[in-house]
Amino acid sequence: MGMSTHAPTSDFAKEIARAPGGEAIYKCVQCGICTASCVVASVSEKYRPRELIQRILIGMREEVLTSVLPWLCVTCRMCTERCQEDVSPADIFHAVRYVAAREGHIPSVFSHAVDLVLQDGWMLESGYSDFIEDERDDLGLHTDLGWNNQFVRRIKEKYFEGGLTQ
Amino acid sequence: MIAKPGGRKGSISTSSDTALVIGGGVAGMQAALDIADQGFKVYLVETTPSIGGKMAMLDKTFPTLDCSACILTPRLSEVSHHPNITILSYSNVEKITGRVGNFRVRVLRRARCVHEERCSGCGNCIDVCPVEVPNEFDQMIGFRKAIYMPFPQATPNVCTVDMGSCIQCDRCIRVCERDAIDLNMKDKILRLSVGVIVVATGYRLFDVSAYPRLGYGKYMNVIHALEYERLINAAGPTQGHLIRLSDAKVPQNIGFIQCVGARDVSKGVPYCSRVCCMYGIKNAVMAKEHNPNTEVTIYYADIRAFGKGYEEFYHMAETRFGVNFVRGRVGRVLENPENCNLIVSVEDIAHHELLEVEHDLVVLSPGLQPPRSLEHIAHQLHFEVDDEGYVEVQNTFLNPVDTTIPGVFVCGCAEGPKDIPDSVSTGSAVAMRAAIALLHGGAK
Amino acid sequence: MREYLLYLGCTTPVRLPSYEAATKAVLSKLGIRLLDFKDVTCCGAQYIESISPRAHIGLGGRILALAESQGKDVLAICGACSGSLKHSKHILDKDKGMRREVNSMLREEGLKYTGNVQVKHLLQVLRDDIGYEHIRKAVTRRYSGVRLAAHYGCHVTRPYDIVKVDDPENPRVIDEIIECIGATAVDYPDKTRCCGGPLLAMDEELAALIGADKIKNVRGVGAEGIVTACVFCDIHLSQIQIGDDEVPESRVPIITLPQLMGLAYGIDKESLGINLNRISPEGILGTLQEGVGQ
Repeated sequence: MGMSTHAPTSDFAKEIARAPGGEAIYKCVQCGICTASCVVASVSEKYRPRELIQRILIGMREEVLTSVLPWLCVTCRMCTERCQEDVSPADIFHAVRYVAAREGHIPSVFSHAVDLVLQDGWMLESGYSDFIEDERDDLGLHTDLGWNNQFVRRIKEKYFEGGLTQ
Repeated sequence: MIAKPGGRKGSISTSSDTALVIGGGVAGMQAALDIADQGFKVYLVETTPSIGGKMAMLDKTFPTLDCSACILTPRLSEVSHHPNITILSYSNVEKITGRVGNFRVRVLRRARCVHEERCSGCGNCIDVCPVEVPNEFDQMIGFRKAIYMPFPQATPNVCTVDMGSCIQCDRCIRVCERDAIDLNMKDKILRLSVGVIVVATGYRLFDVSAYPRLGYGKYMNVIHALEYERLINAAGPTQGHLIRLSDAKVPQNIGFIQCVGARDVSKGVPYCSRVCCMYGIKNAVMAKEHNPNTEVTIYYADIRAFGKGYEEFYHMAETRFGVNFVRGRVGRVLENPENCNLIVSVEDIAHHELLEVEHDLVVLSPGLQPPRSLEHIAHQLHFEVDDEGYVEVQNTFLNPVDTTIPGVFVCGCAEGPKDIPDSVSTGSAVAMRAAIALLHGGAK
Repeated sequence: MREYLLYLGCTTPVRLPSYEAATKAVLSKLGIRLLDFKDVTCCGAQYIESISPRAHIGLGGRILALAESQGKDVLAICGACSGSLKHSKHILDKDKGMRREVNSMLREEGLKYTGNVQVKHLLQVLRDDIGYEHIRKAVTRRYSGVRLAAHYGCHVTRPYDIVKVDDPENPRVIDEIIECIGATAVDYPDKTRCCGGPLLAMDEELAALIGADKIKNVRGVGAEGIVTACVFCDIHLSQIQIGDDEVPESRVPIITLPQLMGLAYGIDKESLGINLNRISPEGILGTLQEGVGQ
């Protein structure tokens, strides 16, 4: 992160605290146990959950919402288990994703997966090849997977009309 | 049957001039002395074979690095010789009825199988006993015999037989010149009548094996603070030589982990244990004193150095002794199977670095918890306990050592975690409260 | 006979049908009847969950209401699905507003969620409905002490408050079952760490690094195979070993728990889809001893 000045503000933290999953953000004491436990942090130089939460707390809204970092969390919840203050960084990053998505910041891989579910009712319609159908048949498994693709239209109407998220 | 207090032949104590102190740690001892010095009689009941409590186990105290035993031992002697104090050690309070001015207490005097008035504490019996078992006082590092004294200055200075381990070979009996040992001794019930009761039951340490991620119980070189205390204590199992339990090597790189079983919502202990930062720093400084070349690091979320001289002690640990302070709570501890060293994962927040640090010894600093015995006493006396299990006081500001039951007072860690000076202060405070209650027969 | 609606999720039927087949074969042998769960949708884990939490609950809620309408509980064998459905149930149970919202969407299908349905993961059914005793007794061919490492995956055991499956820091179910069927369960560093699978979408390289780390730790203790209970983990841990520079002999076989159990129960390899395992577990199978019952 570059050397620039930032005027701290609590507005963004308040916003995240109101979003689903972000409620506990004020309990964070910045102890770093989440980062020390994070599997993604252990293989990446840039991903640091504690620091990301710190950025939210001091109000770096633009930076956090446009960053790829909140999307790197694998939701393994090791941080949730170990946090001694009952904060779940994984849930906070979910709240960030929700807010970011509302403003159109979604990695293409996520929006693509969502599109597939909203269209077919599940994710792997295009991946269900004849070859795999045969494999299933050989195993004695039924080949008609019976996914419902009607309900997702209701879901789409209610939650995804007018952009990828409501 | 009302017991006669020691030292005053022919006098019968009445409840209005007698106090019961439950717990023989430093707070209970202080309360007993201050009540006794005012002319009242005191029964001091202690569940272990000797009074002295946790303080007797410690090596040095913060922030002055005084030798704990050196401060405590004169007090042990004072309590033991005070004409108004009767020590009932190796005993438990079983039942309490009545009210202020007239509590009736049933005490179980467990059979130590040694006649207290005959034993001189010479230790000949200990030398010949063939049975060795892990030593509780040394936190199960090192051994004691089936007949034993928990520590050299044990008070009363008599031996106790652990009948569960005794094989009844009678070697001790044969060598005792005072005929003090009786392996057929039975438990006795003592009924007391007292005017006031002081709860001074102390604390227990959080069981750190509740954190599998820190490796205690799995890796030999992960120990907790009280085990560390016994290792550096000259009267301990290694005569004060700090060594690793896996290979007896002197550690060159020690990591201290703070807030283990304290400030942890997920383990049901959300509160701060008050003393761990200071005893952790004290332990780190002691490691440096033992071996100045040792690398010593403390991993913490906050350092709470709140008392007189505490901040200066913290500063001195860093600048004069060279203890490394890393702000960052430890994620987990792994073992290097080749040398039993430990690998600690932590974010060094100040330097923006995610580290895996290798230590050859890791010491966990457990938080404090109410002792299990407190529940029984609370049940007997019906005083209120708080959410954490500590004794609730009448009023935090105006009546901080009175419990919610008249005539029952609380001092030391039974009320909440506190250091030695505060424990002693509250001991003196309850003595005054108890005396006032006794003078007025409970009317005040 | 205990019955469950088998919720497969998106991935298992297509990418790991052997897991489905083995689960059906083994649970049937152990006295659990699995019913096909038709007309469901994706549970919304990971992707929908991140973009619209309420859409996520909606999808989960309908699946649960469908099960409720059939009077049966749900067994999810994918870790992410089980965690996701449990999360949806948790929210629906405590948030009246959300429940009303979801039920209003379900009305036209005549469905309603009232909370009268449980979600279990495979490990829970094995431990609680069947029990270790029975698992041990049903063995007809024991593994002779082959060293196996259990990989639990993240969504199976965490967050404990919602999924309530096993101790998240020291899980034991797979290890106990491994021991029940005659193999030796070995511990290894960072056993409870994620396999890295969910990161594939965003950063393949990092995902591979995480998985490789786990394989290295498992190899380091001399384990001869990894036993999984989640489709995602199984696929990922296999996939990363099948790179250009991986020597076939040094690969650690990945095998799903029901496949491992099925072989000990005398179920044939074909029914368990063993031939579909990317890395052959022949080494593990070779340690099976005939006719050694309990």
